[in-house]
Amino acid sequence: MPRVPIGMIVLVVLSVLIYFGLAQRVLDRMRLTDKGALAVIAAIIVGSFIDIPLTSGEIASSINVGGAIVPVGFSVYLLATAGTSKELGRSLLGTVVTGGLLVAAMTLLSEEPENMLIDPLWVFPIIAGLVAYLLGRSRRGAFISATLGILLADIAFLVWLYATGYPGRVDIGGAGALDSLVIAGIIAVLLAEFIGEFRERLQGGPVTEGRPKELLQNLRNPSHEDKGGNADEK
Amino acid sequence: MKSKRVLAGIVLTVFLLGIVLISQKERGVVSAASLLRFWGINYETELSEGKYYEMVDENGSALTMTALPVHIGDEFWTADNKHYKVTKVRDNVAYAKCLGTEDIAWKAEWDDIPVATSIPVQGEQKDDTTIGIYHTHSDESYSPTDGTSSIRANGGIFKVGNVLSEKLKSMGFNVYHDKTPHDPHDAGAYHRSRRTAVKLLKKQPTVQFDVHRDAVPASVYAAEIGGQAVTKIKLVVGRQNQNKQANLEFAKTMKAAMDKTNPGLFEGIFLAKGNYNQDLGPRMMLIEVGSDTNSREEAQKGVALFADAVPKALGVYQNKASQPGTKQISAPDANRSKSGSWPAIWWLLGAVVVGGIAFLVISTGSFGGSWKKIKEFTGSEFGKRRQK
Repeated sequence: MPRVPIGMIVLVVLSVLIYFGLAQRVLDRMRLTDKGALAVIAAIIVGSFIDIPLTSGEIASSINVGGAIVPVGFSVYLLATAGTSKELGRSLLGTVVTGGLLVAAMTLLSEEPENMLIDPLWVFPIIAGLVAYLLGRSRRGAFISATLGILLADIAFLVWLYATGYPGRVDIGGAGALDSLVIAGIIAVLLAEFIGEFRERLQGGPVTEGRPKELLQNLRNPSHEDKGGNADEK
Repeated sequence: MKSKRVLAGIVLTVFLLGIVLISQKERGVVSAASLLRFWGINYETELSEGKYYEMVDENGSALTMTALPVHIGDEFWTADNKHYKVTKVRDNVAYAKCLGTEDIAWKAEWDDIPVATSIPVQGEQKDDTTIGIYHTHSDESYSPTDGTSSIRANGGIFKVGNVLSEKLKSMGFNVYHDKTPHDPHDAGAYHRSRRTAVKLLKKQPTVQFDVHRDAVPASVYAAEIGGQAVTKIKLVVGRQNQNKQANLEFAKTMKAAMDKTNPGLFEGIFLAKGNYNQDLGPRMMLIEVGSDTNSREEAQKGVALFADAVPKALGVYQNKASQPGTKQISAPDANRSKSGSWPAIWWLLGAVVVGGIAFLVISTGSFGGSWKKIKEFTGSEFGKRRQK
């Protein structure tokens, strides 16, 4: 193995630690225990090395387990366990709007990243996070809209390739844990969290009165709950 | 409730619009057209012919030209080691201020490097050094040779990549050249090529090249080295990621090595806005091999000469890692105030700490509250679980 200067190793290790640390804190907020969140991260990392080919030839496509199947599966789980039908509806609407905006962004935005305020890698999750926050005002909604939105955009691109006969490749979640799909999910939640906390602070705390019980239930972090059912007694 | 939501939407829209206007003001024009341009809205799949940026110094002398849009804050290092920073951009002309001359030269002692451990020519270990090559803009082509500047999913740039790949292989490197097309040439290209870049990273390359060509007048890149016409090479480093400093140091080492092996081949280092997948690692290098107006043969010769510099540059790094501290031979950046990966590490840590504190203060409403939350957090995450 080629030897690498220590500074470079520290930089890479640190980037990875911060990235997965953030990811774990994000998943932690999604109806998962600390251990559950770690398990999902582990599945994403291990799954990053598994590509499942879908089509081959001029227009090839594949789906990565860690970069797509695990986060998408998790989003579907979140949708299935949504507290209210309103939450479900908003998340789905958010997904469709995000997917549409991403397709528009990819085709309409300039071809050179320098033309934009920030790189597309960060633009796509910001779009997803803003849409999800405005429509769903929820962290789970943000995660769902962002991950499924990118998935929709990728599928739309595959359809476009078939429609135009343009040779190309679509590796859904192909960059594994580092794919825009996963990054979008994480950044979208952080964004929703940041804007949400900021707004709640201005407002003087979250509104709990008159909210459905199922939603309030989900406000709590399961890992902080005591088994006896006396939550938030710290 | 509903009115609050509408209000939140309006505030966000105004905020975003404000950012757009401010960024446009920086460029000196605010108009509907410039707003559209800000979002990069244009329907072209390639930059229109003859549209490029010219960078000039304080005296108005040309430093370089590039089809990559130039922004205030971008930096440029010329062949004579002058370091410039862009202070103003007007009508495709970028005005840059000279920040001084840097010492980016090949040091005599580097030649004494006991040909670094796993660099080729060393026998058994030679297969250890892997290099990845891919092309984000797979359509890029060379008009004089390919007949057009853009060929769908099979640009002339692939053939330039072939030459680089073959030359490096002949030197004993283990090369993976990925020819996945990432067309069309739009904002999604890096989103798609990111997947190729990560796929290549799984082969554990020591360095990874994203090979492009520029779109400026041929004279910018034209050069004659060893009696043959070649194109020069520009190195591009993105500044929107945590690896900026490390990649910049690698670019400078490459520059020193190019000056040593083939003087005249280096066109410049452009530190530009953007990410270019360089967040993925500290040695992800974007190279511009000539322009669409140069012939592809010249570009192929240029990139072959570029390959000569690769083992030299990597040798510096491997030596740096394998030598004890005192005998360490440093990369060109070591003599300056900022060195390699460490500033990037401090920036990253700083950003996490500042971001974290800001978030805590906002979410708890006070510094006292933040401290309580931190104590709570460390108690529940790292402390012993309290028994009921």
